[in-house]
Amino acid sequence: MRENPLRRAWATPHDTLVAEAALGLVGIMAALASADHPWTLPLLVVPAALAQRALRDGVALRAQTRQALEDLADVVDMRDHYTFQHSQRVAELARATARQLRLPASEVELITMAGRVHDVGKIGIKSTVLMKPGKLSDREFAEMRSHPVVGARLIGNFPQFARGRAYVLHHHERFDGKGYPERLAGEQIPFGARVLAVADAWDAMTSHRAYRQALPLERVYAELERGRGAQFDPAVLDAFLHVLRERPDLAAAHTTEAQDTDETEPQAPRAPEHAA
Amino acid sequence: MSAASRRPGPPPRVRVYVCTAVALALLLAPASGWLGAAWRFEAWPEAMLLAALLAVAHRQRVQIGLHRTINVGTAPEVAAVLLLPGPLAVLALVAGTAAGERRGPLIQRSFNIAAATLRALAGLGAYVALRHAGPTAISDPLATLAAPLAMYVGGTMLVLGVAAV
Repeated sequence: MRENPLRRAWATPHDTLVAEAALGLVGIMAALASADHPWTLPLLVVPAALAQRALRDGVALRAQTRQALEDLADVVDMRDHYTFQHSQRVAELARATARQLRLPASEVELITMAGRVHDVGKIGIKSTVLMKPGKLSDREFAEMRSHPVVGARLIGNFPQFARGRAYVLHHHERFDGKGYPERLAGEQIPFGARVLAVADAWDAMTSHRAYRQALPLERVYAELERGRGAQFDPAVLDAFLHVLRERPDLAAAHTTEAQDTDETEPQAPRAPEHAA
Repeated sequence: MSAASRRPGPPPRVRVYVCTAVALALLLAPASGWLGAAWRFEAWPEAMLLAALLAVAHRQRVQIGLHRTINVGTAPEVAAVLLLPGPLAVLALVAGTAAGERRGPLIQRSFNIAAATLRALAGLGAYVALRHAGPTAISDPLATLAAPLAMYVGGTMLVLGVAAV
Protein backbone atom coordinates (compact mmCIF):
# COMPACT_ATOMS: atom_id res chain seq x y z
CA MET A 1 0.00 0.00 0.00
CA ARG A 2 2.72 2.47 0.98
CA GLU A 3 5.91 3.39 -0.76
CA ASN A 4 9.23 1.94 0.32
CA PRO A 5 9.99 3.56 3.71
CA LEU A 6 13.71 3.76 2.87
CA ARG A 7 12.93 5.78 -0.25
CA ARG A 8 10.68 8.00 1.79
CA ALA A 9 13.33 8.43 4.49
CA TRP A 10 15.81 9.48 1.82
CA ALA A 11 13.37 11.86 0.13
CA THR A 12 12.41 13.63 3.35
CA PRO A 13 15.71 15.31 4.19
CA HIS A 14 17.03 15.23 0.61
CA ASP A 15 15.84 18.71 -0.38
CA THR A 16 17.71 20.33 2.51
CA LEU A 17 20.90 18.33 2.03
CA VAL A 18 22.67 20.88 -0.17
CA ALA A 19 21.93 23.76 2.21
CA GLU A 20 23.01 21.68 5.22
CA ALA A 21 26.24 20.62 3.48
CA ALA A 22 27.09 24.22 2.59
CA LEU A 23 26.40 25.40 6.14
CA GLY A 24 28.46 22.52 7.52
CA LEU A 25 31.42 23.59 5.36
CA VAL A 26 31.04 27.17 6.59
CA GLY A 27 31.20 25.83 10.16
CA ILE A 28 34.32 23.79 9.37
CA MET A 29 36.08 26.78 7.80
CA ALA A 30 35.16 29.00 10.74
CA ALA A 31 36.52 26.44 13.19
CA LEU A 32 39.77 25.94 11.24
CA ALA A 33 40.35 29.68 10.86
CA SER A 34 39.64 30.57 14.46
CA ALA A 35 41.79 27.72 15.82
CA ASP A 36 44.82 29.75 14.73
CA HIS A 37 43.25 33.21 14.78
CA PRO A 38 40.48 33.40 17.39
CA TRP A 39 39.47 36.90 16.26
CA THR A 40 38.14 35.45 12.98
CA LEU A 41 35.28 33.58 14.66
CA PRO A 42 32.88 36.57 14.72
CA LEU A 43 33.30 36.72 10.93
CA LEU A 44 31.12 33.59 10.85
CA VAL A 45 28.20 36.01 11.12
CA VAL A 46 28.76 37.17 7.54
CA PRO A 47 28.35 33.85 5.66
CA ALA A 48 25.60 32.81 8.09
CA ALA A 49 23.65 36.00 7.35
CA LEU A 50 24.18 35.58 3.61
CA ALA A 51 23.00 31.97 3.80
CA GLN A 52 19.94 33.11 5.74
CA ARG A 53 19.18 35.70 3.07
CA ALA A 54 19.64 33.13 0.28
CA LEU A 55 17.32 30.66 2.04
CA ARG A 56 14.63 33.31 2.47
CA ASP A 57 14.91 34.44 -1.14
CA GLY A 58 14.79 30.86 -2.35
CA VAL A 59 11.66 30.12 -0.34
CA ALA A 60 10.00 33.33 -1.55
CA LEU A 61 10.82 32.48 -5.15
CA ARG A 62 9.39 28.99 -4.72
CA ALA A 63 6.23 30.38 -3.18
CA GLN A 64 5.80 32.85 -6.04
CA THR A 65 6.33 30.14 -8.65
CA ARG A 66 3.91 27.86 -6.88
CA GLN A 67 1.33 30.64 -6.67
CA ALA A 68 1.72 31.35 -10.37
CA LEU A 69 1.15 27.71 -11.26
CA GLU A 70 -1.83 27.47 -8.92
CA ASP A 71 -3.28 30.59 -10.52
CA LEU A 72 -2.87 28.88 -13.87
CA ALA A 73 -4.77 25.87 -12.51
CA ASP A 74 -7.53 28.20 -11.33
CA VAL A 75 -7.70 29.74 -14.79
CA VAL A 76 -8.26 26.28 -16.22
CA ASP A 77 -11.02 25.65 -13.67
CA MET A 78 -12.62 28.99 -14.43
CA ARG A 79 -12.72 28.39 -18.18
CA ASP A 80 -15.58 26.04 -17.50
CA HIS A 81 -17.88 27.20 -14.71
CA TYR A 82 -18.85 23.58 -14.05
CA THR A 83 -15.32 22.89 -12.85
CA PHE A 84 -14.96 26.06 -10.82
CA GLN A 85 -12.69 25.34 -7.83
CA HIS A 86 -12.43 21.68 -8.90
CA SER A 87 -8.67 21.63 -8.32
CA GLN A 88 -9.00 23.15 -4.86
CA ARG A 89 -11.55 20.55 -3.85
CA VAL A 90 -9.49 17.68 -5.25
CA ALA A 91 -6.42 18.99 -3.42
CA GLU A 92 -8.35 19.21 -0.15
CA LEU A 93 -9.83 15.73 -0.49
CA ALA A 94 -6.46 14.28 -1.50
CA ARG A 95 -4.80 15.96 1.49
CA ALA A 96 -7.35 14.49 3.91
CA THR A 97 -6.99 11.03 2.33
CA ALA A 98 -3.19 11.17 2.43
CA ARG A 99 -3.33 12.13 6.10
CA GLN A 100 -5.74 9.30 6.77
CA LEU A 101 -3.19 6.97 5.17
CA ARG A 102 -0.62 8.34 7.64
CA LEU A 103 1.78 9.40 4.91
CA PRO A 104 4.67 11.65 6.00
CA ALA A 105 3.98 15.38 6.04
CA SER A 106 6.21 16.00 3.01
CA GLU A 107 4.29 13.39 1.01
CA VAL A 108 0.94 14.85 2.08
CA GLU A 109 2.18 18.24 0.96
CA LEU A 110 3.33 16.86 -2.38
CA ILE A 111 0.02 15.10 -3.06
CA THR A 112 -1.91 18.24 -2.12
CA MET A 113 0.24 20.31 -4.44
CA ALA A 114 -0.19 17.81 -7.27
CA GLY A 115 -3.96 17.81 -6.67
CA ARG A 116 -3.97 21.57 -6.97
CA VAL A 117 -2.38 21.47 -10.44
CA HIS A 118 -3.45 18.03 -11.67
CA ASP A 119 -5.62 19.44 -14.49
CA VAL A 120 -3.30 22.26 -15.52
CA GLY A 121 -2.67 20.42 -18.81
CA LYS A 122 -6.22 21.29 -19.84
CA ILE A 123 -4.92 24.77 -20.60
CA GLY A 124 -3.98 23.44 -24.02
CA ILE A 125 -7.40 21.96 -24.77
CA LYS A 126 -9.77 23.93 -26.96
CA SER A 127 -12.78 25.42 -25.17
CA THR A 128 -15.09 23.81 -27.71
CA VAL A 129 -13.83 20.42 -26.54
CA LEU A 130 -13.54 21.24 -22.86
CA MET A 131 -17.09 22.59 -22.60
CA LYS A 132 -18.78 20.50 -25.26
CA PRO A 133 -22.17 19.45 -23.93
CA GLY A 134 -22.54 16.42 -26.17
CA LYS A 135 -20.53 13.30 -26.81
CA LEU A 136 -16.90 13.82 -27.81
CA SER A 137 -15.60 12.53 -31.13
CA ASP A 138 -12.63 10.15 -31.06
CA ARG A 139 -10.32 12.97 -31.98
CA GLU A 140 -11.72 15.25 -29.27
CA PHE A 141 -11.54 12.43 -26.76
CA ALA A 142 -7.89 11.86 -27.64
CA GLU A 143 -7.25 15.57 -27.16
CA MET A 144 -8.94 15.46 -23.77
CA ARG A 145 -6.85 12.46 -22.79
CA SER A 146 -3.64 14.35 -23.55
CA HIS A 147 -4.03 16.68 -20.57
CA PRO A 148 -2.08 14.58 -18.02
CA VAL A 149 0.91 14.47 -20.38
CA VAL A 150 0.72 18.18 -21.15
CA GLY A 151 0.29 19.00 -17.46
CA ALA A 152 3.20 16.79 -16.41
CA ARG A 153 5.41 18.37 -19.06
CA LEU A 154 4.40 21.83 -17.90
CA ILE A 155 4.99 21.32 -14.20
CA GLY A 156 8.12 19.24 -14.79
CA ASN A 157 9.82 22.52 -15.69
CA PHE A 158 9.43 23.76 -12.12
CA PRO A 159 11.88 22.13 -9.70
CA GLN A 160 9.55 22.24 -6.69
CA PHE A 161 6.84 20.44 -8.64
CA ALA A 162 9.18 17.91 -10.26
CA ARG A 163 8.46 15.22 -7.65
CA GLY A 164 4.71 15.69 -8.11
CA ARG A 165 5.05 15.37 -11.89
CA ALA A 166 4.44 11.61 -11.79
CA TYR A 167 1.24 12.11 -9.79
CA VAL A 168 -0.12 14.53 -12.38
CA LEU A 169 0.95 12.30 -15.28
CA HIS A 170 -0.74 9.19 -13.86
CA HIS A 171 -3.84 10.52 -12.14
CA HIS A 172 -6.05 8.94 -14.84
CA GLU A 173 -4.45 5.52 -14.64
CA ARG A 174 -6.70 2.73 -13.40
CA PHE A 175 -5.76 0.08 -10.86
CA ASP A 176 -6.62 -2.65 -13.41
CA GLY A 177 -4.30 -1.14 -16.03
CA LYS A 178 -7.00 0.18 -18.34
CA GLY A 179 -6.38 3.86 -17.71
CA TYR A 180 -4.22 6.39 -19.52
CA PRO A 181 -1.70 7.65 -20.59
CA GLU A 182 0.62 4.67 -19.92
CA ARG A 183 -1.84 1.97 -18.85
CA LEU A 184 0.03 1.34 -15.62
CA ALA A 185 -1.56 -1.09 -13.17
CA GLY A 186 -1.60 -1.66 -9.42
CA GLU A 187 1.61 -0.82 -7.62
CA GLN A 188 3.14 0.52 -10.85
CA ILE A 189 0.96 3.59 -10.45
CA PRO A 190 2.63 6.12 -8.13
CA PHE A 191 0.85 6.12 -4.79
CA GLY A 192 0.04 9.83 -4.91
CA ALA A 193 -1.59 9.37 -8.31
CA ARG A 194 -3.85 6.66 -6.86
CA VAL A 195 -4.95 9.10 -4.16
CA LEU A 196 -5.64 11.81 -6.74
CA ALA A 197 -7.60 9.36 -8.90
CA VAL A 198 -10.17 8.72 -6.16
CA ALA A 199 -10.50 12.39 -5.16
CA ASP A 200 -10.77 13.47 -8.78
CA ALA A 201 -13.42 10.86 -9.57
CA TRP A 202 -15.47 11.82 -6.52
CA ASP A 203 -15.39 15.50 -7.45
CA ALA A 204 -16.21 14.77 -11.08
CA MET A 205 -19.22 12.63 -10.15
CA THR A 206 -20.60 14.99 -7.52
CA SER A 207 -20.31 18.06 -9.77
CA HIS A 208 -22.58 19.21 -12.53
CA ARG A 209 -20.85 18.99 -15.86
CA ALA A 210 -21.72 20.34 -19.29
CA TYR A 211 -22.73 16.85 -20.39
CA ARG A 212 -24.61 15.68 -17.28
CA GLN A 213 -25.87 16.73 -13.88
CA ALA A 214 -24.22 15.74 -10.63
CA LEU A 215 -24.97 12.15 -9.70
CA PRO A 216 -26.98 11.43 -6.55
CA LEU A 217 -24.72 10.60 -3.61
CA GLU A 218 -26.01 7.03 -3.33
CA ARG A 219 -25.01 6.42 -6.93
CA VAL A 220 -21.62 8.05 -6.39
CA TYR A 221 -20.89 5.71 -3.48
CA ALA A 222 -22.08 2.76 -5.56
CA GLU A 223 -19.80 3.79 -8.42
CA LEU A 224 -16.84 4.11 -6.08
CA GLU A 225 -17.51 0.61 -4.76
CA ARG A 226 -17.88 -0.68 -8.30
CA GLY A 227 -14.46 0.78 -9.08
CA ARG A 228 -12.80 -0.92 -6.08
CA GLY A 229 -9.80 -2.87 -7.36
CA ALA A 230 -10.70 -1.98 -10.95
CA GLN A 231 -10.41 1.78 -11.15
CA PHE A 232 -9.26 2.51 -7.61
CA ASP A 233 -6.69 1.15 -5.20
CA PRO A 234 -8.84 -0.57 -2.52
CA ALA A 235 -6.66 0.72 0.34
CA VAL A 236 -6.85 4.29 -0.92
CA LEU A 237 -10.60 3.96 -1.47
CA ASP A 238 -11.07 2.72 2.10
CA ALA A 239 -9.14 5.71 3.41
CA PHE A 240 -11.14 8.07 1.20
CA LEU A 241 -14.48 6.65 2.36
CA HIS A 242 -13.28 6.93 5.95
CA VAL A 243 -12.47 10.60 5.34
CA LEU A 244 -15.95 11.20 3.93
CA ARG A 245 -17.49 9.58 7.01
CA GLU A 246 -15.28 11.48 9.45
CA ARG A 247 -15.33 14.78 7.59
CA PRO A 248 -18.86 15.22 6.23
CA ASP A 249 -18.03 18.92 5.83
CA LEU A 250 -15.62 18.04 3.03
CA ALA A 251 -18.25 16.14 1.07
CA ALA A 252 -21.27 18.24 2.02
CA ALA A 253 -19.78 21.65 1.23
CA HIS A 254 -18.87 20.48 -2.18
CA THR A 255 -22.06 18.67 -3.13
CA THR A 256 -24.23 21.58 -1.91
CA GLU A 257 -22.12 23.89 -4.01
CA ALA A 258 -22.57 21.60 -6.98
CA GLN A 259 -26.34 21.52 -6.56
CA ASP A 260 -26.46 25.32 -6.57
CA THR A 261 -24.20 25.79 -9.54
CA ASP A 262 -26.53 25.18 -12.39
CA GLU A 263 -30.10 24.41 -13.25
CA THR A 264 -29.69 23.18 -16.78
CA GLU A 265 -31.25 19.91 -17.81
CA PRO A 266 -28.98 16.93 -18.03
CA GLN A 267 -27.32 16.61 -21.37
CA ALA A 268 -26.57 13.57 -23.44
CA PRO A 269 -23.69 11.78 -21.81
CA ARG A 270 -20.35 11.80 -23.54
CA ALA A 271 -17.46 9.46 -23.13
CA PRO A 272 -16.58 10.09 -19.50
CA GLU A 273 -13.10 10.81 -18.27
CA HIS A 274 -13.63 8.32 -15.47
CA ALA A 275 -15.17 4.92 -15.85
CA ALA A 276 -17.65 5.93 -13.19
CA MET B 1 -12.19 28.76 22.12
CA SER B 2 -9.01 29.68 20.30
CA ALA B 3 -7.53 27.57 17.54
CA ALA B 4 -4.44 26.97 19.64
CA SER B 5 -6.42 25.56 22.55
CA ARG B 6 -8.38 23.27 20.22
CA ARG B 7 -5.23 21.82 18.70
CA PRO B 8 -4.74 18.30 20.06
CA GLY B 9 -1.41 17.49 21.69
CA PRO B 10 1.00 14.95 20.23
CA PRO B 11 -0.02 11.29 20.54
CA PRO B 12 1.29 9.32 23.56
CA ARG B 13 3.80 7.41 21.44
CA VAL B 14 5.41 10.70 20.38
CA ARG B 15 5.56 11.80 24.02
CA VAL B 16 7.27 8.53 24.93
CA TYR B 17 9.73 8.99 22.06
CA VAL B 18 10.57 12.55 23.15
CA CYS B 19 10.97 11.48 26.78
CA THR B 20 13.33 8.71 25.66
CA ALA B 21 15.39 11.20 23.63
CA VAL B 22 15.58 13.58 26.61
CA ALA B 23 16.59 10.75 28.97
CA LEU B 24 19.23 9.57 26.52
CA ALA B 25 20.61 13.09 26.19
CA LEU B 26 20.79 13.50 29.98
CA LEU B 27 22.43 10.10 30.33
CA LEU B 28 25.06 10.65 27.65
CA ALA B 29 25.81 14.35 28.24
CA PRO B 30 28.49 13.66 30.93
CA ALA B 31 30.41 11.63 28.32
CA SER B 32 31.27 14.94 26.63
CA GLY B 33 33.89 15.40 29.39
CA TRP B 34 36.14 12.99 27.52
CA LEU B 35 35.54 14.52 24.11
CA GLY B 36 36.35 17.69 22.19
CA ALA B 37 39.27 20.10 22.11
CA ALA B 38 41.55 20.87 25.04
CA TRP B 39 40.48 23.46 27.65
CA ARG B 40 41.75 26.97 26.99
CA PHE B 41 40.85 30.49 28.10
CA GLU B 42 39.44 31.65 24.75
CA ALA B 43 36.95 28.82 24.70
CA TRP B 44 34.45 30.63 26.95
CA PRO B 45 33.91 33.76 24.81
CA GLU B 46 33.88 31.57 21.70
CA ALA B 47 31.22 29.35 23.25
CA MET B 48 29.10 32.37 24.16
CA LEU B 49 29.41 33.82 20.67
CA LEU B 50 28.47 30.53 19.01
CA ALA B 51 25.53 30.03 21.40
CA ALA B 52 24.30 33.54 20.56
CA LEU B 53 24.62 32.87 16.83
CA LEU B 54 22.75 29.61 17.27
CA ALA B 55 19.95 31.33 19.18
CA VAL B 56 19.56 33.96 16.45
CA ALA B 57 19.57 31.24 13.79
CA HIS B 58 16.79 29.36 15.60
CA ARG B 59 14.69 32.50 15.85
CA GLN B 60 15.14 33.25 12.14
CA ARG B 61 13.88 29.90 10.91
CA VAL B 62 12.76 29.71 7.30
CA GLN B 63 9.61 27.73 6.56
CA ILE B 64 10.33 25.40 3.66
CA GLY B 65 7.18 23.30 3.79
CA LEU B 66 4.34 22.10 5.93
CA HIS B 67 5.79 21.56 9.44
CA ARG B 68 9.29 21.87 7.99
CA THR B 69 11.78 24.62 8.69
CA ILE B 70 15.47 25.16 8.12
CA ASN B 71 17.88 27.52 9.84
CA VAL B 72 21.51 28.45 9.49
CA GLY B 73 22.35 27.04 12.93
CA THR B 74 24.30 24.19 11.35
CA ALA B 75 27.31 26.47 10.82
CA PRO B 76 27.77 27.58 14.47
CA GLU B 77 26.92 24.04 15.65
CA VAL B 78 29.68 22.49 13.55
CA ALA B 79 32.12 25.23 14.57
CA ALA B 80 31.33 24.61 18.25
CA VAL B 81 31.88 20.86 18.00
CA LEU B 82 35.21 21.24 16.17
CA LEU B 83 36.50 24.15 18.21
CA LEU B 84 35.36 23.81 21.80
CA PRO B 85 36.06 21.37 24.64
CA GLY B 86 33.31 18.70 24.78
CA PRO B 87 31.23 19.96 27.74
CA LEU B 88 31.42 23.54 26.48
CA ALA B 89 30.33 22.49 22.98
CA VAL B 90 27.31 20.67 24.40
CA LEU B 91 26.56 23.64 26.65
CA ALA B 92 26.77 26.07 23.72
CA LEU B 93 24.39 23.98 21.61
CA VAL B 94 21.92 23.49 24.45
CA ALA B 95 22.00 27.15 25.51
CA GLY B 96 21.72 28.42 21.93
CA THR B 97 18.85 26.07 21.10
CA ALA B 98 17.01 26.81 24.34
CA ALA B 99 17.37 30.56 23.88
CA GLY B 100 16.22 30.36 20.27
CA GLU B 101 13.28 28.06 20.99
CA ARG B 102 11.61 30.07 23.72
CA ARG B 103 8.27 29.83 21.96
CA GLY B 104 6.40 26.71 20.99
CA PRO B 105 5.09 23.71 22.92
CA LEU B 106 7.25 22.41 25.75
CA ILE B 107 7.46 18.97 24.19
CA GLN B 108 8.84 20.44 20.97
CA ARG B 109 11.40 22.55 22.80
CA SER B 110 12.45 19.59 24.94
CA PHE B 111 12.92 17.45 21.85
CA ASN B 112 14.95 20.12 20.04
CA ILE B 113 17.23 20.63 23.03
CA ALA B 114 17.71 16.88 23.48
CA ALA B 115 18.37 16.53 19.74
CA ALA B 116 20.98 19.32 19.93
CA THR B 117 22.73 17.51 22.79
CA LEU B 118 22.72 14.18 20.95
CA ARG B 119 23.89 15.85 17.73
CA ALA B 120 26.78 17.45 19.57
CA LEU B 121 27.73 14.13 21.16
CA ALA B 122 27.55 12.35 17.79
CA GLY B 123 29.82 14.99 16.23
CA LEU B 124 32.27 14.99 19.14
CA GLY B 125 32.34 11.18 19.20
CA ALA B 126 33.03 10.89 15.47
CA TYR B 127 35.71 13.60 15.66
CA VAL B 128 37.59 12.04 18.56
CA ALA B 129 37.26 8.48 17.24
CA LEU B 130 38.65 9.31 13.80
CA ARG B 131 41.24 11.83 14.87
CA HIS B 132 43.40 9.17 16.45
CA ALA B 133 42.62 6.46 13.93
CA GLY B 134 45.71 6.89 11.75
CA PRO B 135 48.39 9.29 10.51
CA THR B 136 47.52 12.90 11.30
CA ALA B 137 47.63 13.98 7.65
CA ILE B 138 44.75 11.64 6.88
CA SER B 139 42.86 11.33 10.15
CA ASP B 140 42.62 15.06 10.87
CA PRO B 141 40.73 16.07 7.72
CA LEU B 142 38.73 12.84 7.88
CA ALA B 143 37.67 13.56 11.47
CA THR B 144 36.85 17.17 10.58
CA LEU B 145 34.51 16.05 7.80
CA ALA B 146 33.08 13.13 9.76
CA ALA B 147 31.93 15.29 12.68
CA PRO B 148 29.33 17.35 10.74
CA LEU B 149 28.28 14.23 8.85
CA ALA B 150 27.64 12.38 12.10
CA MET B 151 25.73 15.40 13.41
CA TYR B 152 23.56 15.52 10.28
CA VAL B 153 22.85 11.79 10.22
CA GLY B 154 22.14 11.73 13.96
CA GLY B 155 19.82 14.74 13.78
CA THR B 156 18.01 13.42 10.73
CA MET B 157 17.47 9.98 12.28
CA LEU B 158 16.03 11.58 15.41
CA VAL B 159 13.59 13.68 13.38
CA LEU B 160 12.63 10.75 11.15
CA GLY B 161 12.02 8.76 14.33
CA VAL B 162 9.27 11.19 15.33
CA ALA B 163 7.57 10.66 11.96
CA ALA B 164 8.04 6.88 12.22
CA VAL B 165 6.41 6.51 15.63
